[in-house]
Amino acid sequence: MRELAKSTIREIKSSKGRYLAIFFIIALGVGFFAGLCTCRPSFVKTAEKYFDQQNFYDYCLRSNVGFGKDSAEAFLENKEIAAVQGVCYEDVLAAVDGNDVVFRVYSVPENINELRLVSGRMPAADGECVVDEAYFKEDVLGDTISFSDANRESTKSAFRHLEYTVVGTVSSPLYISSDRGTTSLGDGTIKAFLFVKEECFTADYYKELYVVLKEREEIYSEAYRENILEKKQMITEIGQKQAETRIKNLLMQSQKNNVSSLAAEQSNTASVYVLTRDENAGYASFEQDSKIIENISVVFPVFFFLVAALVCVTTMTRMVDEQRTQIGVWKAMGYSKLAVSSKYLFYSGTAGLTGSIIGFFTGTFLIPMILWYAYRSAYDFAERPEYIFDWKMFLICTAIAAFCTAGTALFCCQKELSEMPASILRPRMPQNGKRVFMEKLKGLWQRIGFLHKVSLRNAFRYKKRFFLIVFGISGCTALLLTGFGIRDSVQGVTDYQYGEITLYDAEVTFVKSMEKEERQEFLERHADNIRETVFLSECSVDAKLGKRKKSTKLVSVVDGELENFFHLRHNNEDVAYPKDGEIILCTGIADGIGAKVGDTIVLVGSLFQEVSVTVSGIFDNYIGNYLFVSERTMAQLEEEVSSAAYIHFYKDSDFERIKNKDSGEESLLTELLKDETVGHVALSTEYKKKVETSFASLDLVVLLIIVCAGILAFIVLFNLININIGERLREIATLKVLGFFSSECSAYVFREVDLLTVIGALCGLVFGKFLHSFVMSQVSPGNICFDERIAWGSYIASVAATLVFAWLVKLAMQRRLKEINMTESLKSVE
Amino acid sequence: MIDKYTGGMTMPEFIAFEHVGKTYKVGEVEIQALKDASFSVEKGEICVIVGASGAGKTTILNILGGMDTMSAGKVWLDGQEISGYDEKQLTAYRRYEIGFVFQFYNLVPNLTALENVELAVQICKDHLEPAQMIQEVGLGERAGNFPAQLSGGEQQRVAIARALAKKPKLLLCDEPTGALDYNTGKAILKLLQDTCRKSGMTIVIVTHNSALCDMADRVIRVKSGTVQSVTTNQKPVPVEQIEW
Repeated sequence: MRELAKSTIREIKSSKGRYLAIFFIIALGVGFFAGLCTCRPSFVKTAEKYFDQQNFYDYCLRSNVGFGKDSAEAFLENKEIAAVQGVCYEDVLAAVDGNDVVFRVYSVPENINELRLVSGRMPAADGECVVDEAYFKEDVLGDTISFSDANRESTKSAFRHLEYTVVGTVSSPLYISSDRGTTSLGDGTIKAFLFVKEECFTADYYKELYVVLKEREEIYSEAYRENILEKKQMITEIGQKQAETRIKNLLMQSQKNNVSSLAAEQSNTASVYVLTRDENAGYASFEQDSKIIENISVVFPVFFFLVAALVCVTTMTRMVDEQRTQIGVWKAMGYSKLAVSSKYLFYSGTAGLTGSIIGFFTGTFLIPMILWYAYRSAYDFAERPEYIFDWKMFLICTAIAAFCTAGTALFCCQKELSEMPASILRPRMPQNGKRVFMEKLKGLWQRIGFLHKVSLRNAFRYKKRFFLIVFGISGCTALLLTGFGIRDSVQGVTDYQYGEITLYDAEVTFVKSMEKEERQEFLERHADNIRETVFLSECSVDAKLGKRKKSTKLVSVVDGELENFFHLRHNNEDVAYPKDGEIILCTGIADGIGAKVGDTIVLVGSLFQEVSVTVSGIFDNYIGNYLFVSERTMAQLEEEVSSAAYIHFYKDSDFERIKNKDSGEESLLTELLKDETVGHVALSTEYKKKVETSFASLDLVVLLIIVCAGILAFIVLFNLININIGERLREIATLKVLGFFSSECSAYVFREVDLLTVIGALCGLVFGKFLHSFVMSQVSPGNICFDERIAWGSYIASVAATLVFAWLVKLAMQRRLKEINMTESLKSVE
Repeated sequence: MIDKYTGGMTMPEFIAFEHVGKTYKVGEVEIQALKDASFSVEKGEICVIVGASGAGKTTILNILGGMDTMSAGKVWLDGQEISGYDEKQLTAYRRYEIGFVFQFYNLVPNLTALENVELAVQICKDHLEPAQMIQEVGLGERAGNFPAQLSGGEQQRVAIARALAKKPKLLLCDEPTGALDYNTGKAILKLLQDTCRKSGMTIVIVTHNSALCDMADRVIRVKSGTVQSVTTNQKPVPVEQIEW
């Protein structure tokens, strides 16, 4: 047995290329699989660590009257509650570089949603503040931020000071993404947050209460959600009581002071809203984004494992073939089947095992690290992710690796082992030549050059090899196409949405439902700025078809023509606006509930009132979901509606004024926002920018895919050419003896590889198209439908890149070809 | 023993080996495969190089066939000095001047008999018609068959056709009957002998079978890496009359 062991070790040494091919394909498959699978748990753990450290809230309570400053005690009486924190906040306009921007100013929390100091120190005196590190640079320390004169009186009176010195920069767990929320001030978006001491607020009550439970389940888990849902009622009750107490106190106060308190009069009944973590934009979008990776991680690794198995099968088959005589000798000497096959088991098993170990650890370390780096552009709360080494995953990967390697080895040598030693020792019959189907086309076949005929025959002769290379190369091309395609789709979404579908400059949401005269007055007030308007009424509904249901926005045109603001079309054909009793759906909703033109769907309102409508059309829309109905259909639903309008500003000069606020004039936007009827204005350009930044992290994912595709192509081709050359040593040596120059020799060998590469690449385009649309359907975050179109350039680029990878491998293999000794041709047939 | 080697600048001989030596380095060990080998062969002769395995006959074949370089000495073929050739020149030399017949035929399994001949002439400027060559070796009926469908003798005939179609100056045969049975082997040797007589082709046959010496015009015996003797047969025997 010692000799057999020695022979095995020497075998590995003498066929490093083959051994390494098995090692690398297993390492790649396992690394990719384990790496991608570990990403979500790893990122969730990273987030959990951060949220735990900062003591992130479980419930956020708001009421129409706020909460008294002593409310915390009532909560803490409950044994399930660990901590309560009240905060005051106010949105203010502040001058930055001469422009008014909106900040949200909070009171510094003590024990929930703790701030993380990035630079400087926490505020110690009244006139000091710490600021959003994402918006301010470090050199802001020592600067003074003054609240603008343009602020409402009520805002100004909410603070004891209107000027604060910046003493530090911080990050807050309430804002882990770049989204800082919206406001009714300024241009409608909050640019940054500020924290000042609680004493700086004049209010004697808290606007929000944050509550943390004692019981802590893993974040984003079902257990967490259930626990939160279970206790929500209890929290609401305590909150309700506290709000009622506050009303009582207010009434008592106003009676005592004989002053009519507006707050108390308006709200004899307290209404309390209990929000959970899911309502926090950063927390929710982080979960959404980490799910994207989880979805992708299923598809790619399966594919890599398939290729790995194929590489192992071809490699081991070749090895056993080569060693036919040796196997015969071992058997003739009386070694058992098991002993002989153990050599091949060991050979492939160790390659697979070491590949699995190295791949697993590299993958679980490298892939989360790379993707986290990409994530940091959107979620910058940790330097590096928490790495997770999951032993169960490791065992699964190793088991699969063992099956792919040792299993195939065992399978491959079965045939040889069951033969009698004598018959193995006899040289095998030369392999039969075969004609390929093309030879039946006499006319075509005769036109093909002689050497090309040889390549064609070789290419189609070996089924296993043909399959491996076509599969491997098509996988490479498919991965590349998917990678490039993801970029196309993402870019396509914003360009298409804002270039061809939503044509309006801004969307105005009014604070109340607007009657005809009010609309007219609004237009008259802004006649200088607004060129064109269409008024809409909107409400939220559930669209239902059979058992499938989706919540969405229902819109009807009240006044004006939609045409110039929203282009309704599908497959390059215009879609007509629905008549009474009809509805048109955007693609996202149509796909979501599986509705087709002609179906009857049910609209469900907030009080479960229902209206049936017929789908008269489906229109393309990528960002956000809409349904359009006629005004009368809208009225049938008897839902409370709000008014909105799409507007076009006067072109060029006027629109430029919005972006360029240096003109000194009041911008159109602030002009609009000053209007009392206007609640919110969303600029299309701003919105487009926002969507685009959230896609930025995808670029690195694309790069990762491209690199993997390259490695895959390299391993498959290297292995294949290696086997091909090994099998044809005699043939190649004979060609050399016949006087083929080395360039002719490599052309003879590589031409079939070229042919198969091209076939593989073309198959890959088809395969890639499917993979791409699958991936896009998986990564689509809720309200965004991706455009599944892939640009022509991407098709060309994927094929070109595949060919370049193949060319590189050939370049590397050229040397091997040169090294073949002509005396091989004199040896007997093995 | 008649030493035909004359030395000097004029080389009337077709093939000339002049003090040729070959040393292989295997790791630290140097193996001398050929020592001071000198002989010559005239145009149109059948020359048999005979010796036991490991005697150095294959080394002579490799050097003469342009498949290996030598460590010492000089080699001429038809007035050209091969010993100074670089790799590219050697390839061209194999391509245009040498026809090779292997012990194990070395046909490309994926090509038919006819196509195997075509493979060789593809790269030659001046060559014979492949179909005609196949006809001449007696395989006209089997031209479309793949090697696996041919017997050993038939495969070797294809190999000979392939070598001859190139119109080489020299036909080198490495144990051409080594893998064949007695009768088939004889038929192959007859084909070689007839070809030589008919077309005046110079043929060098390397073998361990000394029975073949009788059919040769010239016999070179090698042993332990040296040329033991070079003899000429005044009356070579037709192959049919040789027995072993």
